[in-house]
Amino acid sequence: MAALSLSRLVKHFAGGVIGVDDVTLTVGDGAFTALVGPSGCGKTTILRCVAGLEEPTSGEVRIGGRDVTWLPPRDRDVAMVFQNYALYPHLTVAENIGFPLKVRKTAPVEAARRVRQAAELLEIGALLDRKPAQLSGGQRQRAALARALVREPALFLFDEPLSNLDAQVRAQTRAELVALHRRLGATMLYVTHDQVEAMTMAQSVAVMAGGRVLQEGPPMALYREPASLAVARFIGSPSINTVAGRTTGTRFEGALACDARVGACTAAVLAVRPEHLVLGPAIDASRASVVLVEPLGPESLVRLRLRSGEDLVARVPGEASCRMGDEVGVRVAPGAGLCFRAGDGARLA
Amino acid sequence: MPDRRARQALGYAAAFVLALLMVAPFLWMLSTALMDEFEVYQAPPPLLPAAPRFANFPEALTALPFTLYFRNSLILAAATVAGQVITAAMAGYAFARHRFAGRTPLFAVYLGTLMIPGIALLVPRFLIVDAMGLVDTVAGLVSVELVAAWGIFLMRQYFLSLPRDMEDAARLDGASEWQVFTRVALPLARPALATVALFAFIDAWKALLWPLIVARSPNLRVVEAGVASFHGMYYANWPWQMAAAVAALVPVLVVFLVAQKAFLRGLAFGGFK
Amino acid sequence: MTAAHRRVAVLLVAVWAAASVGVAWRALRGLDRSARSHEALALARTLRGTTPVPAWPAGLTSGDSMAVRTEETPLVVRGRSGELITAPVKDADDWDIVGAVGVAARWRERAAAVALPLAAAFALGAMLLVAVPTVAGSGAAALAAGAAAILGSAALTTGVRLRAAAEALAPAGGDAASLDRLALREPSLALATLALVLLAACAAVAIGAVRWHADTAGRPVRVRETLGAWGFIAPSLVHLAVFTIAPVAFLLWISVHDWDLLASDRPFVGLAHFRELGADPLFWRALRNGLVYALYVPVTMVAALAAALLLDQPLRGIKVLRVVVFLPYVASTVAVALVWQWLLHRDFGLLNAALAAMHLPRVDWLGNPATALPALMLVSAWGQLGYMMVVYLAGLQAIPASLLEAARLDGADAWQRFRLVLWPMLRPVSTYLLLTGIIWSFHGFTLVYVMTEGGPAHATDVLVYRIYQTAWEFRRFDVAAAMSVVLCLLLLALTALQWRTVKGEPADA
Ligand SMILES: Nc1ncnc2c1ncn2[C@@H]1O[C@H](COP(=O)(O)OP(=O)(O)OP(=O)(O)O)[C@@H](O)[C@H]1O
Ligand SMILES: [Mg+2]
Repeated sequence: MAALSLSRLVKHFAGGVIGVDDVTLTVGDGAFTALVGPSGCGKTTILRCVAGLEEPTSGEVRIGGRDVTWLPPRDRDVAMVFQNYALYPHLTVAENIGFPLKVRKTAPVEAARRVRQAAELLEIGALLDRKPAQLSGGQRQRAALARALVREPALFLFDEPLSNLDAQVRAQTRAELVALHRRLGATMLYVTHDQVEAMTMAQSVAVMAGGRVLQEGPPMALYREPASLAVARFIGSPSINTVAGRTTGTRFEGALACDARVGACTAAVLAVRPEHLVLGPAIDASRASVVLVEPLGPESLVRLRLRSGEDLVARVPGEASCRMGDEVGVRVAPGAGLCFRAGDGARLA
Repeated sequence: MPDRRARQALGYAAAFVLALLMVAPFLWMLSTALMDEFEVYQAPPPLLPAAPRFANFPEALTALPFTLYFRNSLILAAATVAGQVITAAMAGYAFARHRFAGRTPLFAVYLGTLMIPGIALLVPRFLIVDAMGLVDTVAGLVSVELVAAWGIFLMRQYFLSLPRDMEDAARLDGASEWQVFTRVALPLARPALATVALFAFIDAWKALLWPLIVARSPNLRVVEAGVASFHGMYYANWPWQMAAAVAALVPVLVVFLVAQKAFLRGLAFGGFK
Repeated sequence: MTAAHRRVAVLLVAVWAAASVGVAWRALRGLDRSARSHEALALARTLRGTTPVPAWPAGLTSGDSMAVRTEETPLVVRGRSGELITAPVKDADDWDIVGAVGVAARWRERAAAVALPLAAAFALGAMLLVAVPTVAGSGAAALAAGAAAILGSAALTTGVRLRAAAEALAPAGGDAASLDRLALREPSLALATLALVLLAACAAVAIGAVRWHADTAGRPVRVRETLGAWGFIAPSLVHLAVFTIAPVAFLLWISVHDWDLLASDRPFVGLAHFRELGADPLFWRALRNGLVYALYVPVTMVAALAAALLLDQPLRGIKVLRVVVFLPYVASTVAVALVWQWLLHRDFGLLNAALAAMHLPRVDWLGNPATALPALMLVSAWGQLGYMMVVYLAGLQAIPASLLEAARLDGADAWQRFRLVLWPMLRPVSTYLLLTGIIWSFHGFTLVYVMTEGGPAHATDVLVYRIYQTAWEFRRFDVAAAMSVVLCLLLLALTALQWRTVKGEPADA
């Protein structure tokens, strides 16, 4: 096991495309870090640089303290699970899992033992003689996982490994991956564009956009204290409500108003999580009309439209007391409003 | 409706005539190969032998050392297939997968060689092979067709159509570049390899001109040249000639029938050479 | 592969190199001064009559085109590069003198003298580097071992060859009978094969060393990848350089020089050979024959298109037909030529029998200058018909049915539908078939060679056949080269045209 650290990693592609733009990131020994971000933000590129499949334009990659920036992939002791699993179609599952051992010239008996062990760990022991084409998506995923862990690498890389699975299998595999991580105690870097996946699985989440890491931290820290509007918008589902306005030093004034001790008087954006919107009588509150009520069982989502035209979502426990077409008052729960500077989205308070 | 029926009938008729046209000479070859030496000299000629004379085959094939010729043809074909498949796979893979200094100009050079008609290079090729001391050697016989630019392009196209992830996965699994190539890329490219191999085999088996000029000694003769010289020696014995011709046909026909799929794939690539 | 394995491998290569150096040295050491200057490869080559012996003694005349006749007693002459021996060579029956052999000292011997110490040094270096294992040294050791192996095996083959020649020739200039035996045994075959195999093995070792070095060393990926890619490309590139690119330059060179097999000087003659061609009615005849012959391509295309139109509908068994039509292409061309010669036989051919049955006069297809070329065209058309039909069929099936239905709704009759819809859609296919077909028609050799030998009265003499005859029967390589240049230009023009149309329109097929 080993820690991974990237420092000032930059990757430019031919034609001036910027894949990764000055990323510094550390994944502690045995930690599980998720990289999230919208499509095309450079997540895969970072993984490929770590794996050695891509040569960084500048910067350094260290695994377990060793500078591996210029080492070929096979000398890095890194395993990767690809989005489409990249199983070798001409080999059986057993041969697929055993491939890393075979090219490293592990003794056949030992290799067979480890293949069996990995397969049993992932409960695909019965499928060893099949070809990948004869497996379901979930089984393929497990085979790919087994191939990655059979050689006990220092670092696991995952590139959206669950995105090709259906919702049910995905939820199940998510839990299994977390359990696996705990069991192996391995260092894992996990790429996904699904923030739910990142939040539920990782100990630490790095949010990326445009080739940069915007913020990194434990999931709940990111949720509660986003450093920028982009992070606030990306994390959380349904996504955070935003309203434009101004800060006066102590308050935010706009279509919604709340206390905000930011000390600066400037154009700003107020962001409020759906669960922090309080619905009540329209006294001393912004007025909004209820557009839609979505009951989810334990809670309900209420979609609102403010007088000034902004759309909001509120999350209320249990069944909502209002109905479509009602006029309600909307307030921000005390201390729950997040203010960001209007221009660059930097956090004010 | 009757219009469509008539059209279909016409279609079947055309198909039948075409098939007959294509097969008839081969059937005639076989039929003559089983006739008696003097039976063929009748007007009108008999369509079928009165009594099939299978002895024509052993007689014809031992009148000249055809075993030797078959061996030489097989050597030529095997070397050509091996050479073309190996070089096409390697170069096609490099062009499809690697980014390297000089790729674009090099590729242009390869494209350029595709334009140059090999037939116009007979004289200098022969003189070069001669200067290497390889005239009348097996090496000289097989030398010029060991690489086919056509095959390189086919392999390149094929590799480009394959996903790269498997190769990357192999790299991470600890495979060297060579292992990535032989253990992952090549097995995935099997259909294209079969096509290159098939065309290489057919071309090598049918080659006459180069073997004729570079392998002059009788013990290096290939089947095609052997049958051609047999034709000169037993000019009047048509059954024997036809028997030799049938024997020359068999290997290439068998290979073709076994590998039709690969053949049609090559055709789709514009590979009618 | 672990570092230990690697060291062992390098060591093995180095030891092998050292061993070959030793053997080569032993082979070279015992040679006496006169014997050492005889080389078996050159001997055999001279026997073929294609390479002139340096400083061929005056007074010897070249006899027939195939070989040189000399006096029966061996001659020892001094040449430019050392001793030169010529001796008569008898034919297999020991009856006739069919040629002479000449042996001369070559550069190889001197090269071997240089290669030996170099190889030894490299091998030693590699072993030292292995003995002192450092990370930096492992790649260098591999490279040194590779170099040693290449040089060592080159020296080895040269040494073995020289030794064989010396032993076969000894005593130098002595016994003519032993020279005969040597010449007729063709010593070059085994040795040349051995040399080639060794060279290939060495190349593989060298490439492997470079790759492997590149793989492990901590270099930027780009350098690694470039080295690796060039390793992958090297085999085909070397071959293309030697057998395609060099020949192009060489062809141009020969075509403007005198290339007399027996003369050692090859003066520049400018366009003399081309002028000779221009004045040669047979050349023009061959060119014209080639152009007429190519006419079978459009004619066959028309038939193929007609067949394709008839077959473009759901028919059972069409797959079988699709295979059957390729039989003429895959079949051995000599066999096809033979059966057609038999079919076209004047007295007993099936075709004439059919004509006779219809009370038509018999035709001497291949014996009559007026019909010989059309007969060959018929055979070629038969060979290509099926292929063209399949390509047209694919082209037809790529045309969306809705297009034809629209035309039908617009009231177009069958002929209009063909002329206004199908034909324009098939244009790219037709251009492709026409140009490639014509290009390939100029490659045709086997039919002419087997069926007519260019006759009767040069009626079927085509360029390729003339080149063959001029070079390998009349031994006028320079004129044949000039003719090849003409052929090459013609085909290049056609190919360029084809590529332009391919670029212009999406080519089917
Ligand atoms: N080989 C390449 N050549 C040029 N540009 C590339 C290459 N690979 C990636 N890019 C570009 O780099 C940027 C980052 O790509 P990357 O694949 O890392 O995105 P991603 O975050 O993984 O997206 P997704 O979630 O869709 O997988 C994109 O703009 C992409 O177009
Ligand atoms: Mg990606």
